[in-house]
Amino acid sequence: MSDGLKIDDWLDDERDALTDELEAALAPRRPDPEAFGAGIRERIREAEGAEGGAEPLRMGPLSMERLPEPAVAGGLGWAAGLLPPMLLSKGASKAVLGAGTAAASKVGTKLTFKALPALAAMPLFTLLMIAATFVYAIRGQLGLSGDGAQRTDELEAASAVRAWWGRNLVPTLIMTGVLVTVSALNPSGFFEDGLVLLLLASAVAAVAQLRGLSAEGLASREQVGKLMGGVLLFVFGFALQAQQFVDVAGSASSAGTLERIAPFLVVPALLLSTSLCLGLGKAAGTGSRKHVVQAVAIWALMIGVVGPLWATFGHVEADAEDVRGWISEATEEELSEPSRWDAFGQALRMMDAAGEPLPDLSAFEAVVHRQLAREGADLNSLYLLPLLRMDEGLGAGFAADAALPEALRVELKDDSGRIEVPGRDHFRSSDHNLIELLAFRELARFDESVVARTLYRRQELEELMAPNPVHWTGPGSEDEVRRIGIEFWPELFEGTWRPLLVAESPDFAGIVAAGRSELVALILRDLTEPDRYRAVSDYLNAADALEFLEASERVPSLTNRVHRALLDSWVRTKNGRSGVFKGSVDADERDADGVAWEDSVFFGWVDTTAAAVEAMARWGVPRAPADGSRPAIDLLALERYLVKTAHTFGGEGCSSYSVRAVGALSLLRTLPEFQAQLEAHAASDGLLDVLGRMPLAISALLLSFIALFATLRAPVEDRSGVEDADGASPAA
Amino acid sequence: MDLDRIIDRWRGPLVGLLGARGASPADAVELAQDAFSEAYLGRERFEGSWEDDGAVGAWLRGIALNLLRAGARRRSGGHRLTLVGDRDALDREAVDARPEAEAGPVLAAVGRLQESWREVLMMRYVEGSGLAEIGALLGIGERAVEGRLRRARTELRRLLESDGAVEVNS
Repeated sequence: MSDGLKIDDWLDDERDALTDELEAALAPRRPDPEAFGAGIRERIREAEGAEGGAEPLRMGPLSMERLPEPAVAGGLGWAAGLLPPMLLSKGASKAVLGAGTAAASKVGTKLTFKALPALAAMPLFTLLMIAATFVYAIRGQLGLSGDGAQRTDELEAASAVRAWWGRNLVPTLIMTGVLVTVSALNPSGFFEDGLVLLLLASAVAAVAQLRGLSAEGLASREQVGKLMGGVLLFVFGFALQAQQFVDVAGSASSAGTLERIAPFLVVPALLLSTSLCLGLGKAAGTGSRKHVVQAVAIWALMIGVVGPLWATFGHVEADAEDVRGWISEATEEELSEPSRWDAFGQALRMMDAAGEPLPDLSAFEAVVHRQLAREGADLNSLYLLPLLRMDEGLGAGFAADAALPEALRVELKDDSGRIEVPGRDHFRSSDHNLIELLAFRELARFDESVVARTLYRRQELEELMAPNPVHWTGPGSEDEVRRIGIEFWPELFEGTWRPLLVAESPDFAGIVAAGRSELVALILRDLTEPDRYRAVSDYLNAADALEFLEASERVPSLTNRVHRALLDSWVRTKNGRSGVFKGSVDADERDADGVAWEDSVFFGWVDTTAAAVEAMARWGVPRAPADGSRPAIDLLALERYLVKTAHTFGGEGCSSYSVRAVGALSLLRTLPEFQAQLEAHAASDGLLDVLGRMPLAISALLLSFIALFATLRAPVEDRSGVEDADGASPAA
Repeated sequence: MDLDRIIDRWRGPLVGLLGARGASPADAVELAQDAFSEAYLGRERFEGSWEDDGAVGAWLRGIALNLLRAGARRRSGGHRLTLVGDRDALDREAVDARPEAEAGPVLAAVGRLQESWREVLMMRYVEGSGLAEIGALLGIGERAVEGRLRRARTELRRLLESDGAVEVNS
């Protein structure tokens, strides 16, 4: 029984009827050995014919031995196993992956110093492989695979991608862990420097690794050129984004010529090296040098197009001239946005104080006039303050009073045309204090005005009319007792009291005199503490109020508080290159030396920073306290932040942030303390300091140089050798 | 090591494995041929030794089952990655996939066995393959194959006797 099957290892009781039944039942599934083998050979012939486009091969015994592999150094072989396979051309992929795989298998997890460059290249490769994995997954899902040889290539590529993940999952996970850890620990401001340096170092390592492969004869100039071009294109795209995050020297006074020029070289250098690498690679593949000429021509064309576009719509630094031009030439739509008026007012005040010419404000004034007429009482009263302060700060350049339409300045008058004024007895008998009476009177005067209507609408009129401190329970505060901040004062002064206090009417003379004194006393009594949120801005408002109340001599008494508030709100980035003034700094944000650090500086802090510059112009730059509890203020770091914030991106014009930054820069550079720090910096700044401040440019230029060097040094492929190997093996 | 020797050694158990996993007789042969040609064309990616049964078995099993899954996805209307060689055979919708009753009582009973038992039976008796090759393809040891084979035969015998279809006493 069961003699039909040739089984060498029969079980004890296997030769039985059941086995015979199984043998018979499965006989139709038993392939004919000859036909089976012929079918396999036919498939191989088709695949290799499609691959090489050659005549069908003579089919002798097919050796399963691998193609001869070049000798690969241990570390380099391990590194080759990390290479993303789709980066390589098919021939190189076979050679490199075969070698790398074998080497990786032998080396295993034993890392050597020679393998470190490959490990350094892992972040870049990981990103590329994730992208490739997505591409193949999407193509597979969407059925975008091609036909014939292309399908075979895609299958092999997809298989190679899977194999790469299988081989490199552990190092990739380790690298991901390193990235997450570096990000979490954030040793030097990850987004500012860490990410840029890590990925650029990774790109440099990748380029160096490919150079090593070509030196071993594993990659030809054609392959290396394509790879370099791909890596550089990736870095180019990244650099465009990174320039928004890293420090830009721009017009910073502390930046030397090299530092200012370098950022402008990044894009052209990366584009040129990309074009040249691709051109050299193609030239090596085709034997025609015209591809190099074409690459340079394409680069020149791109620079000719991209350059002007970048200068216009790219990352462009705005200056005072830009602000003047923008305000003078802005459309009504751009100027009629009330949220920008405060930024314009502050910037123009600071530019004016710095001696910068002011733009022609007539168009702006006309726009504001029309906006007030259009919105009337619906205009948020907070937007009136910037206008009124512009009127005060910019003199004849901008007349807010003139901008207020007549319809909004209706005074309460009796039938005879006299201003109807409540009698003094009314005020004296009132339980209200003088301030409230002043406010009441002013409201009566502007009963039909925008100010009155908007203040009435707030439903907290009484609380708002009384200056600090007032404890109240109002909308939004529920049962919580809330302190009205001094930030409301300017609105009150400018919107209500100021017109009254400057009135010439004899009816108000006595009230005005008493009111001034009482207001000054209240201001000085209720000054914000230095550690409160936006204390510097409060002091500026208080100083404005004191000067308005003709008590300018009291302003210097605020100096100590202002200096304390400035030192308390000063924050630097961890790399030390930028610094800002925040609204406030919590105690847990400081280290043991009292220094407050931020990973990166936020452009939205420019309003508190600009206020601080105004405060330093008024009260001077504070020195570091003798007890060392707070660091000194680095005005050059402050300037770098303002220069960066003054940049606009994408041709957006002057944003509110950049306008404030330009105004603050103008004023900052006039401070004597700034000039002193600049001179001290110039005396101590070395070349290494300069290079340390421009990691992106240095890395990009270095990478471009290495990529070109690697491409030029890679050997031109001898195709005849490859063809021999491919053709000989099947017939061996 | 040449391809012919590998084909001779692994053809039977591979065809049996594919059949046990649901491929029709014609598809099982086609897929096995595809698997061998894939293995040859992609031999550079093979990391082990051709003398190592375990490595070769795992390599062939991975290719064959991937091809089987890809073919199943295509028949089910989904998209799949492409296969090397003549794929038209896979389009012939299981021409030999007769109803179990028509395939005979023995195969009908085999089809009712759990997959691990069905696998060893079909891999063993399509061509009479050794325990070593079966174990290598399945990624298990020879003793495990033997154990499965004994249990599979016992259960198959019980099924056939209960059906009264055939006398299978040894």
